[in-house]
Amino acid sequence: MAGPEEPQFSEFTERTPAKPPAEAWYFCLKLLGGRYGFDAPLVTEVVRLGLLTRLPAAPLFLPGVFTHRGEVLAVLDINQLMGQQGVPIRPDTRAAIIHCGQWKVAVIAEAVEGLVAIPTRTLQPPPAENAGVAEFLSAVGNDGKSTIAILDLPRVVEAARARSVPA
Amino acid sequence: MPESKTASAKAKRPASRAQSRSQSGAQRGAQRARAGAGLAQITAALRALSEGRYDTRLDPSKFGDAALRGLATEVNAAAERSHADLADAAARVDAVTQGVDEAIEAMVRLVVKGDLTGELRLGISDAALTPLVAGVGQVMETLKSFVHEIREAALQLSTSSAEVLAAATQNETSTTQQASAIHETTATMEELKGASHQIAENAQMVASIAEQTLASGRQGEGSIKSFMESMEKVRKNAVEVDDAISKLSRRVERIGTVVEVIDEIADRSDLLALNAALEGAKAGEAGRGFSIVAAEMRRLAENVMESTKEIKNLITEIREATHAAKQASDGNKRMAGEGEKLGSAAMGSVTGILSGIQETSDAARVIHLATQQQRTATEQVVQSMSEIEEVTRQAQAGSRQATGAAAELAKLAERLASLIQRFRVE
Amino acid sequence: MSEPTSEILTFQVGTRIYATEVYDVRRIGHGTEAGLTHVSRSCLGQPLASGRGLVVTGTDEMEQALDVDRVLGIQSVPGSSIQPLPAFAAQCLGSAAVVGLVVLDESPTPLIDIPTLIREQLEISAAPREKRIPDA
Repeated sequence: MAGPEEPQFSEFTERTPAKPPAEAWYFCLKLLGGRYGFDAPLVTEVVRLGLLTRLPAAPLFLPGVFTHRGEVLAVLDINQLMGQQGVPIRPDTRAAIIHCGQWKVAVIAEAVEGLVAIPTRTLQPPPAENAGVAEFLSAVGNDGKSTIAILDLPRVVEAARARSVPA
Repeated sequence: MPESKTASAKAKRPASRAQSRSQSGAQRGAQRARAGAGLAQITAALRALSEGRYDTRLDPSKFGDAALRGLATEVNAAAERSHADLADAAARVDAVTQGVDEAIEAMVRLVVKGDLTGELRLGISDAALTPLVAGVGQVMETLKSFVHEIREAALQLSTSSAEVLAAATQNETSTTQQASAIHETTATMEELKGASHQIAENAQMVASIAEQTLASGRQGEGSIKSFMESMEKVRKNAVEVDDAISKLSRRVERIGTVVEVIDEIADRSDLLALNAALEGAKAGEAGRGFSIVAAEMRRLAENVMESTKEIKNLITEIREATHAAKQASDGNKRMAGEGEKLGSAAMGSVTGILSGIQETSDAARVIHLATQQQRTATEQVVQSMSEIEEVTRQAQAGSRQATGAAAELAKLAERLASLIQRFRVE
Repeated sequence: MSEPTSEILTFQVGTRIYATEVYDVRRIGHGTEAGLTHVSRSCLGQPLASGRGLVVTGTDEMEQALDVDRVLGIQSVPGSSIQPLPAFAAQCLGSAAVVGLVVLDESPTPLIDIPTLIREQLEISAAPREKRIPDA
C-alpha cells in the first residue's frame, strides 16, 4: 500500500493546526486479529523486510535487525509481544517504520492497511478490561468501518523492555 | 301187441271170404241179401273192433246163414280174444310202466342221493323189463367205476394242485425276492456306474492337471537350474567384487593417511597465518606488511586445505561408495548364498513335486484306465442285470400267473372233490 | 586512506557469523587446546565442532577460549560500517556481549565482545538454572 511517500508525510508534520481538527489521521495495521493504528506522522515508511539478521540473546518479539538505507533497524512483532502466534517472517513481509522520539522500530504486521481518518469525536480512552494490550493503547476510535485501537509506541517499548530478561 | 292179434285176425279173414264165394249164386242172391245184411253186421262189428270197441259182440243166433253164424262166432271169438289180449297187454304195459317207474325212481335216487351201492330191484318181474334192469345195472356199474376214477383223479388233482400252489407261491416269493434283489443290485450298479463315471471324469481331470503341472514343473525345474547358475555367477562375481573392493579400500586408506598429514600441516599453517594476521592487525599500520604476508600464507594454507578438503570429500565419497559396494556385494553374496539355498530347497521341492506329480499322473492314468475298464464292466453288469431283471419280471409275472392258475386249479379240484363226495360207492 | 578503519575478525559458530574487534583476541588456537578454560555454549550458539578457539586473557590472567567452528578471516572495515545496536534492540537483548553491528557485505553482523561473553557464560554456568539466557 503505502510506498515511500515521504513528501506526503512531511506535509502532515509541517501542518500543525491551531484548533483540534475534526478528524485525525492514523496509520492502520492489522495486528492481533484487529485494527491497530499509529499516529500517522510517526510512521516513516513501510518497507519490505528483506533478510533479517538474528541477534543473540534476543526475545521472541525481536526477531532480528535489518539495514534500511544504511541504517540498522530492529524489528518488533507485537503479536509475539502479546504471546500470540508470531507474524510469519518472509522476505516480503511488510513492516511499518515507526519513529517516536528515541525509538525507531520496524513493526511487522499481519497486514498493512494504510492511512485512515478517524473522527476525533470517536476517540475514547482505551477500555480497562482489555488486559495486556490496554497498557500500551493511547485511545480507541472508529473510522466508520470498525474500531481502531491507537498504539502508543513508548509504552509498547516499555512493555517490551519489561518482558525481556534482564542481562 | 295187438299187431299179432291183428295178424292172426287177418289170417282168418281171407278164409271166411273164400267160404262165402263158394256158395251158390242163387242162394247166393238170397243168401246174398241175407248175407249182405249179415255181412254188413259183421263188417260193422269188425269195424267197431278195428276202431277199438273190443266189447262189440254179435249174436250168432241171429244169423241164418251157417257161414255167417260161424263168422259171427269167430268175430265174437276174435273180439273176445282181442279184448283179452288187450287186457293182457294193458296189464303188461302197466307192469312195465311200473317197472320203468321203479327204474326211474332208482335212477333218481342214484342222482339225487348219489347212492350207487344198491342194485336195481324191481317189484315186478316182467321179462320185458329185464333188459331195462340189466341196462340200468350196467349204467350204475359204469357210473360207480367212473366215480371211483374221478374220485381218485380228484384226490390226485387236489394233491398236485396243492403242491403246485405251494411251489408256485414259493416261486412267486422267491422270484419277488429275486426281483427286488436284482432291482437293488441294478440300482446299486447304476449308482456304481454313476460313481465310476464321476471317478473317471475326476481321474481324467487329475490326469490332465497333472500333465500340465508336470510340464510347468519341468519348466520350473529348468528355471530353477538357470536361477541357481546365475546365483553361482553372482556369488563368484561378488567374491571378485569383494577382492576389488578390499584392494580399493586399502589404497584409499593409504591416501587418506597421507591426506590427513597434509591436512594437519595445512591446518597448522592456517593457524599460524591467522595469528600472524591478528598480530599484524593489532600492530596497525606497522604490521601492515606483516598482515599482507600472513594473508598470503593464509590463502596458501586455505588452498591446501581446500584441496585436502576436496580430497577428503572424495575419499569420503569413495569410502561410502566402497562401503555401499561392499555391502551390496555382501548383500549379493548373502543373497546369492540364500538364493542358492532357496534354489536347492526349491529344487528339492520341485524334484519332489515332479516325482509326486509323475506318480499322480501315473496314478491318475491308472485310475482313469481302471475306471474306464470298470465302467465297461459295470455297464456290462448293468446290462446283464437289466436282462436278468427282465427275465425275473417275466418269471414273476409267470409265477404269478402260475400261482393264480394253481389257485384256480386247487379250487376246481376242491369243487370236484366235493361233488364226487356226494356219490357213495361203498 | 583517511577514513578510520577497524580490524574485524569474523568467525562462525554453528551456522551464524559473528564479528569481533581483533584487540580482544590474544590469539587463535585449536579448538581442543588444553590448559585453558573453554567456553563452548553461549548465546551465540554452540559450535558443531571445536575447530578453533578465540583465546582471550581472562581477569585472572588465565587464558580462556571461546570455541568456534571456524575463523573466517581478519579484515579491515571502514569505521562507518560499525554501528551501535538500535536503541530498542539494545534494551531488549539479554546479553551485554553484543556491542554493536558491523555491516559486512551489506549484511549486519553482530559485533561481539568476547571477554564479556566468556565472563557472562562462566557466570551463568556457575549460577542456578533459572538465570540462563535462552540462546539466539
